[in-house]
Amino acid sequence: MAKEKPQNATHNSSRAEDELFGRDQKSGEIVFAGFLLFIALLLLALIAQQTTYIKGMSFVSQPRFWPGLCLIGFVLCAAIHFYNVYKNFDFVANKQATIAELRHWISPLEYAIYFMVYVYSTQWLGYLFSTLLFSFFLVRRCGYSGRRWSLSAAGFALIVVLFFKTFLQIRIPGGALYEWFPAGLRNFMILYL
Amino acid sequence: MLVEGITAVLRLDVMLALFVGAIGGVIIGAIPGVGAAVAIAILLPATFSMDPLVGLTLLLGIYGASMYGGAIPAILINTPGTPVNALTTYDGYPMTLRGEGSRAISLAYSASFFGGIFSVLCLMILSPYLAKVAPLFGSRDIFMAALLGVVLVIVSHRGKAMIAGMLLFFGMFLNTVGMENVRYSMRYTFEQDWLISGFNLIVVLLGLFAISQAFLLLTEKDSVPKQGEISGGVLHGFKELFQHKRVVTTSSTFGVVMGIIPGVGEFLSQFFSYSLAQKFSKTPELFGNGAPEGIVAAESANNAVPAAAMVPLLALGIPGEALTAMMLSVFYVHNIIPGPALFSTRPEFLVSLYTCLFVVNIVIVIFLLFSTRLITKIIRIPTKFLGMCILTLSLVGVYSLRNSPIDCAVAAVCGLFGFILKRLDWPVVPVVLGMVLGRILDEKFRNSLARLKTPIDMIDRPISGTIFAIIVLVLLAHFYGMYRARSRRLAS
Repeated sequence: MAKEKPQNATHNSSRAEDELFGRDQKSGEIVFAGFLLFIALLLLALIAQQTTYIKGMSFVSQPRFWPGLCLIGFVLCAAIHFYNVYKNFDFVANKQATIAELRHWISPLEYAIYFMVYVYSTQWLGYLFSTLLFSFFLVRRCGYSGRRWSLSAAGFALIVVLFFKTFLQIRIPGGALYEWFPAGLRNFMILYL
Repeated sequence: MLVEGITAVLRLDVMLALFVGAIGGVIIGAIPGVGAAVAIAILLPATFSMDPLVGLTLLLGIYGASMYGGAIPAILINTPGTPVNALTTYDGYPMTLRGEGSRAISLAYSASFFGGIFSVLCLMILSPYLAKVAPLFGSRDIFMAALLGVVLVIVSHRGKAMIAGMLLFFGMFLNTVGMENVRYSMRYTFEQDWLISGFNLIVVLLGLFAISQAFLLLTEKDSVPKQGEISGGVLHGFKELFQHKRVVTTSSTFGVVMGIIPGVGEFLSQFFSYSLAQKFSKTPELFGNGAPEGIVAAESANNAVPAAAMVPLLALGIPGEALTAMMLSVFYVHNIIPGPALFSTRPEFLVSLYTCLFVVNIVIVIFLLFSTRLITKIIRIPTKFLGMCILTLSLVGVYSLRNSPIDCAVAAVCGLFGFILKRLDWPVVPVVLGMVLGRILDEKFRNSLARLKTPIDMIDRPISGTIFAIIVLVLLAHFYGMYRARSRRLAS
């Protein structure tokens, strides 16, 4: 698969340091490294508020011991990595590439929203109809038009529902729509589709 | 016990899972952009309602078969089907360009088969010893083994050690969120009810592996893999393999050893095997330009890993990489606790599992010998359509767990997180291993506390002391390697 290679922000550094820190930076790495460091520091700052201290209990038995240990490790690694990225980052040369990469990071949000709509529509329309609609819509959204692609999407959706819900009997509840169906058909739909 | 174990494999449901896993795994592996991790993450919840042997056979079939299938596009179109087949492209594709595509594929199948069978046999031979050694492991020893896994996960990510460390600690932190089970106090729940039970491993897995991959495919430029052409049979490689006896045996041994060590896995095993094969080859200049030994080394090493990776999982309950971490949840759901006691409580289950692993390799090779041409045609799925398929299937994995839209939202957020990690070429696996190893470390540390008076007590047992010494050696070797590289650089 042709994966777009983000522009490198390369630097002169020793191979030994490369080994530890991974100097082959990608566009946007500084933003993400900074974001993770911020999250790590925020979580560590909240430790007293978000965990309990029990009097009389030894330090290593405290409920906050493990989260604290993990967060200290997280903060240390994130800080070292961020420092390394920051030290070698050329803001002027990489500004455009970084902005382009940040835009790319936002692009899957659209599909995440579709996915959540699919989840909620399953509760209303049932697994079969929501899956048919979702795959049909996504195929269109991806730019595939024509009967061949519509049939491929519908066929795929049908196979997924028949394999997982009918054959493997996975637990996906029937949709509210099924309540409108005649009794016999409703039971069948709830159980198998 | 032996008869009982083998008989269990002959059950219709187990055989069906074996065939579906093997054939499905080959096809999944052959489609660039999917991979075993995505497929297993999606199928995982569906296996919870199955008999444990059926579920594990299905997942192990996919795990093993995907590497066989991944060699097809690696050789024919220079695109590895799964990431572990990347080294196969070095020599496989040049051979295809020379008109030796079928020879390369045949060599890949035979080497994979040898690697797969070799590692299962090693597992079977090692089993009686594991049954004796595993019960010697107490809480402190398992804690040290998990700690060794943590260290190895970090140091084995060459060039990304800090990133791997950061993500591993993040994964370990995620595991601590929710109500802790000693004093029932809340940890980082932010007064949200849905966080009381913590982050579900499967939800995170699905987001990081499947949904992120769907996002990646849906947002990148659409492409259709080319159709690779092969001519001639794919059987002769089995005869040719005898000419590379030393390479295939050494590489499979590397695969087994590296597979057993938690946190190391396929990448390092095939890297070492490939380097060694090149070093001792009479024609080292051919490596990277279509050397049959290169294919043999890479494929036998990576296919030897799946069975070997079951050793730390079955013996100590410690998964070595992401796929065995996923399988661990199947064990837990069915109340089969992998670890020292498993060898005495469910020996027949282990025999069945080994038999399945053995048979699955035979089924895969027979299937591939007759279907390679067909597979080269059906793998030509446009990437965006593939993305749609993965996103649709992701709902099955997440929603069927607890019918919770919140789980789906968490998975979507993990998908976005995984998407950025993949864009940055950062590893995803440390997050998952952090969650799994973090849980083991936490649990075993608490169990050990009653016996600890000083920190030295943690390593005063022979096993825990030895593992601690290995940890120190691994760290020393890592820093010494860095120091030498730096010295060399300064000298030049």
